[in-house]
Amino acid sequence: MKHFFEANMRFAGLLLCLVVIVVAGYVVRQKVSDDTVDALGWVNHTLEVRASLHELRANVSQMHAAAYGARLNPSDSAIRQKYEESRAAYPPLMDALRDLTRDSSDQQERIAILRDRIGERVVLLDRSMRGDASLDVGELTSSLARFPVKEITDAIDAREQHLLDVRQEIAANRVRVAAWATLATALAQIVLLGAVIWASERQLKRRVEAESETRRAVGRARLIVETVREPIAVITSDLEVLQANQAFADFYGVTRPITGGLNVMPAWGDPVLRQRLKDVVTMRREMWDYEVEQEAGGETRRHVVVNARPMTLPDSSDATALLTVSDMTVRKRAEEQVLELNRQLSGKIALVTVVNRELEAFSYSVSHDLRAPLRHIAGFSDKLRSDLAQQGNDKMQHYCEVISDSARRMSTLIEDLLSYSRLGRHALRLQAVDMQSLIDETRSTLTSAVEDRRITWRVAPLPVVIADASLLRLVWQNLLDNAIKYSAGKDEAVIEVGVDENPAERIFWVRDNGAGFDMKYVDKLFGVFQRLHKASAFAGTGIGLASVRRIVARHGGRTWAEGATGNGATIYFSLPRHDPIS
Amino acid sequence: MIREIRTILLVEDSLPDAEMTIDALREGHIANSIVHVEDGVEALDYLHRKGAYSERQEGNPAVVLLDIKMPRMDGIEVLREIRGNEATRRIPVVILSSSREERDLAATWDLGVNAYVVKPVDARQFFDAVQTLGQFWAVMNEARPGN
Repeated sequence: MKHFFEANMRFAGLLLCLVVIVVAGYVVRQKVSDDTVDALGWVNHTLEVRASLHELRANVSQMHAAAYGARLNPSDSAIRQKYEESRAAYPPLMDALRDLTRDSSDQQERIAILRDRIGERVVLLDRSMRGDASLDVGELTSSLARFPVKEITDAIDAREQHLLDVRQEIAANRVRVAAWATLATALAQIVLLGAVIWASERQLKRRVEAESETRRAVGRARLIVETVREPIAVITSDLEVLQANQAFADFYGVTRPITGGLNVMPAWGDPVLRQRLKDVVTMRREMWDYEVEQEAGGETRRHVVVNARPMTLPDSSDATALLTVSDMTVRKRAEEQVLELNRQLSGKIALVTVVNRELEAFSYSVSHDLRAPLRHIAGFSDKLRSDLAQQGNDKMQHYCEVISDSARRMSTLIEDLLSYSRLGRHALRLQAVDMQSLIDETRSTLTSAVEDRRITWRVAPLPVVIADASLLRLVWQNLLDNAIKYSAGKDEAVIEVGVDENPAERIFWVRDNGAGFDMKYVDKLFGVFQRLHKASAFAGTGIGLASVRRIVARHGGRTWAEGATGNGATIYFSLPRHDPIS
Repeated sequence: MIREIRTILLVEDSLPDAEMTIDALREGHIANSIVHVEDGVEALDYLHRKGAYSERQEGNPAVVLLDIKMPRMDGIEVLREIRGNEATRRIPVVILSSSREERDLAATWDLGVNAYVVKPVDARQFFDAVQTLGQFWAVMNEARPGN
């Protein structure tokens, strides 16, 4: 609407310009031309008056000449004839002059005087012609001299000359004005025309620009449709393909134009899908995410999702629909793989759960049933020993002691094994743990039992971490206990504790100057019940470092060790900086 | 006032354990009579005077020394029955177990056990523990009214 209005306005403006150019030009020229003609008319008129005046003077002179001639040759009829002719010609000349000067009252007055004087002269000349004796030549001349004509005609002539000058001046002015006016009009016309041309030129340029922009947009749109990876097609209610992009042709292995449409393509053989597509076109009903397996270009079957929306083409009244195809084969395959993996995983989880439950039952049973016989062995061997003591059988007593000690040791092993198995069972209770205070606490507990030893502690400032406090306490207990235990042979034990931090993790370490170990066996260090020292040298069951490894692993960290026989050991464990995985 | 000497009920499926326990109590000069039953069902029969114990004299024991892992009915179920019954709910019950399994500890304390003792493997410690228990519960402790 707005556009239409604007176009009309432009057209009206253009028309107005044209009218102004044509009409104004015409009017100005007409006016100038009229004025000029008028002015020239007046010049002509003046010239006519003067011509008429001169003719009159010539006529009067001729009359006088004939009258004097007749006096010399009275018999000459030719002269008389001449007089008569000029005598007859003078009144019409006089009238003509009078008529010509009607526009000027002062000229009229002069002409009236001239007429009277010429009239008087004619009376005298007529008398002379009639041969009036009383009128000799002298008399005639003097009589005529009483009616002077020359002055008056000169005055008339001068007056006319003046008028002529004035009128010529006016005419010349008019011509000049006309020339300027014409020039100005022409210039104005040129300017207007220029404006019109500029405006229409601009209009044209705009239109060309708009058209090329439209062309570019259309080109881009087509390029997008052609470049997009999804197959796209425009279909009719007969499932003919009006248009399809390269992806569509490639996907279904056909060449464009697609003759026969979807009807002849085996991929589109599904009768339900075909009916739904027809419905989209005829009933203007959208089709969302129709999943179907299709025989695409190759021999492989593709899992696709088809979408269709009714569409109205700008250049056709036929109902059409836009059809897009999304190849979900890869995603579908991935989904199936995920499902399969999940199935396998849940199977494994079920298995693990069963195993865990069995393990729990096992350890429960172990803790109850395995210890009872040990207790009985210990108990009854003790009773046996006290009975034997009364009989004084020392050797037997010693055997009984060995039996009791073995039972005790086995009980300790069972206890350690059970506590180790418990480490993996409970959920982590994560909280902020101040490693500094944890280690101070552990240290004071442990050193109270070895007050006779000389131990130098070098504990670096330790950070606060997010972890399970009770489990970390176990870690420090084991590590510090080991350090104290294995440095027992030194006069002065030096135990160092520190931390190395990097962006990913914090690495804590405990170093002692004790017995150390052979790096050859470093792999055995963290194993359950693995010992690198003789039981007679150092007490222990070999569960401590295994527990440390288990706890640290549950916090997402690593454990490792460095050492040399007789040169002490350094045990490292790391805790990740992000939240530990429980 | 003459103190009535009450019975000690020992619920223990392991005969060596029972023998050791009884020995320890005798060594500790505890005069109370000791009734030994071998599982939970028998324990409840005794408490409710049913089955083999229908003829026994009335009265609750001074203390029940209760093992946990037993055939037929385990110690936790026995404890639940004892605490759930108006006639028996005031009897002191001491768990004598081989293990300190956390779930057992939690279950028995939740059910209102009076003590939980892990039987020491060491013979001397075992004797000391049982004697202390007997002394405390059967001799020193005053029964709750109604028991």
